[in-house]
Amino acid sequence: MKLERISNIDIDVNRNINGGGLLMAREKYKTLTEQMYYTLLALQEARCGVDVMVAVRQMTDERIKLGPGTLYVLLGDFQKEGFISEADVEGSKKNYIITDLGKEKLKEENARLELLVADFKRLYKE
Amino acid sequence: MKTKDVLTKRFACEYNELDSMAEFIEQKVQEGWELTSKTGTMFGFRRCEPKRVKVSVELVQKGGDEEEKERFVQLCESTGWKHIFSDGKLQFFENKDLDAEPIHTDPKVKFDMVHKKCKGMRVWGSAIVAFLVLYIWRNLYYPLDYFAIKETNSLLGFFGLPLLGCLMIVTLLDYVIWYVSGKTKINKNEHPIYKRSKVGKIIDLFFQGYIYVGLWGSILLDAWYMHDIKMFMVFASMFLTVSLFIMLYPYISAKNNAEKKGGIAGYLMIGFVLVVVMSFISFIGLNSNTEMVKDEKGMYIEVYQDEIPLTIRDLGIETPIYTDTYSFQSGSPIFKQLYASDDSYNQEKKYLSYSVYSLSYDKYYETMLEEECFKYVKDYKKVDDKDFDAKEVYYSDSTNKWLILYDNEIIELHTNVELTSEKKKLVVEKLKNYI
Repeated sequence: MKLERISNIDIDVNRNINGGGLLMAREKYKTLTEQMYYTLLALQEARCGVDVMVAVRQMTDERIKLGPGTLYVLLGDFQKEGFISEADVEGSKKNYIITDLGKEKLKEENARLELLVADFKRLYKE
Repeated sequence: MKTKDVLTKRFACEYNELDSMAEFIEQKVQEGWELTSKTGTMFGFRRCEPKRVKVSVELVQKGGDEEEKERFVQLCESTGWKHIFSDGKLQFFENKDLDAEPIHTDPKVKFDMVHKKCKGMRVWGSAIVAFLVLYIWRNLYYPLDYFAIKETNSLLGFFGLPLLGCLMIVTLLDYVIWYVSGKTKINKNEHPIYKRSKVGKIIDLFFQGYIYVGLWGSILLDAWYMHDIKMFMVFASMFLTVSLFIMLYPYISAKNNAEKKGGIAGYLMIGFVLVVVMSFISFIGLNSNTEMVKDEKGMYIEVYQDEIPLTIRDLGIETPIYTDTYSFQSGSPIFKQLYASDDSYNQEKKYLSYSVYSLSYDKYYETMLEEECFKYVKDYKKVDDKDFDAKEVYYSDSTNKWLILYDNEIIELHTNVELTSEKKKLVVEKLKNYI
C-alpha cells in the first residue's frame, strides 16, 4: 500500500467527517461556513459588530446577510479560539481585529476551497 | 387570571424550542396583549393595540453580563429588531417587518450555540434524577411490594421519583431526536426546527401533575394518616402559600409593569401574605405537645405529653415526678401503625413502649410480621398464653418483648413490668382495634 494512497483515504475520511458534522466542538471551526469566512475577512480592519455586518453585505454584494445573532456568537467564539482579538473599546462599542491565528485559519480555509474548485475543474463532466 | 388591563399566561418550553415561545407572544400581540413581565414560566401582558409583528426570542451566551447583553441588543436593533423584553439569558425582540431577516442567519452557528446551552442541563438533570432513584433504591428497607402497600400514600411522592426519572429519560430521548434531525438539516444547510415537540407538551403536563398531585398529594396524605391535624394544617398552609405565591407573583408583577409602578407595593403584599401564613404555621407549631418539667435532680427537661392508649400507670406503676408520653401514627389506606412509649419517671425504673400494626389486606400479614418484628428480635419463642386471647403469642427473654398476633393485627409490647393475667387483659382491651 502506497503512503500517498493512505493519505488520500485520510483526506476523504476527513472530508466525510466534516461534511457529516460529527466533529467535536473543539474542532467545530475545522471548516468555515460562508458567514464565518466573511466575518474573518471583514476583520482585516478593526471593526465593531455593526460595521462587520455592513462590510459583509458590501463585500458579497448583498449575497450574504449576516444576522446580528449569528455575528454576536461568532465574535465571542472567534475571540475564544484566538482568531480575533479586541482592538479597542469605545463605550459600549467594541472593535475587533483578526489575529495571526485567524489569518492562518482564513488561508487554510481558502486552500481547502481552492482544492474543491481544482477538483471540480478536473473531475466535472459536462 | 384576567382583568381589564392585565393578563397572565403560562408557557413552558426548552431552549431548543424558543420559536414556539416567539409564536406564543406574536399571537398575544395580535390579540392586543404586549409582554411586560416573565416569572419562570408565567408571562404577564398588558393591553395594547392589536398588531401583527414578528417576534424573536434569543438566547445570549452571557446572561449575567449587562455590557455584553447591551452590545447584543444594540447589534440586533441596528438591523431593525426592537428590543421589547429581557429575562436573564433570554432576550425578546419584535419587528414590524414580517419578512425581516432573522437574527440568526447561519444555521450551524445557532444550532451549536443552542446545543451547547441544552446539553449540560439535560445531562445534569438526568444524572441528578438517576442518582436520587439509585439512592432511594439502595435505601429501600422493605421488599418493594410490601413497601408499596405500607406507604401507599407515599407512592406518588416516592415512586413518583422513578416516574420523574423515566420522564427525564424520555426528555433526553426527545432531545436526542431533535439533535439528530437538527444535525441532518445542518448538513443540508437548512435551519433546524426550534419548536415545542408533542412529547415536550405531554412531559410538561406530567411534571405539573407530579408536583401538584404527586408530591403535595403524598405529603398531605401522609400528614392525614399520621392523625396529626397540626402537621396536616402546616403542610396544607404551605401548599396554599406556595400556590398563592405562584399565582399572585406574576400577576402583581405584570400589573405593576402595566401601570409602570415600581412594584414595591405588590411585593409587600405578597410578603405580608407569606408572613401571615408562616406566622400561623409557627403559632400552631409542630411540637407543641412538649412541656418543660423538673427532673428528679431539679433540672429542667423537655418531655412529651401526647395522649397514648395505654400508660405505665394503667399497669400499676406510679410516676411521682413527671410523665413523658410519646405517640406516633402513620399509615395508608391498607396499612396502619401506632408507636407509643411511656418514659414517665418512676422509682421502680419500669418502662413501657409498644407498636400496633394493622393490615386490611391479609396477603402481606406474614411479610409484616417478618419485616416489623422477627427481623429485629431473633429469639422470640412461642408461648402458650390464653390471657391475651390471641391467635399466637411470642416472648423474648433477652429483650422483654411480647409479640401478640391477631387476625389482621399485631401488638408488640416492650416492657419490664410484670404482666399479671388482669394486666394482659387490660393490654388487649386498650390496644386491640385501637387503630
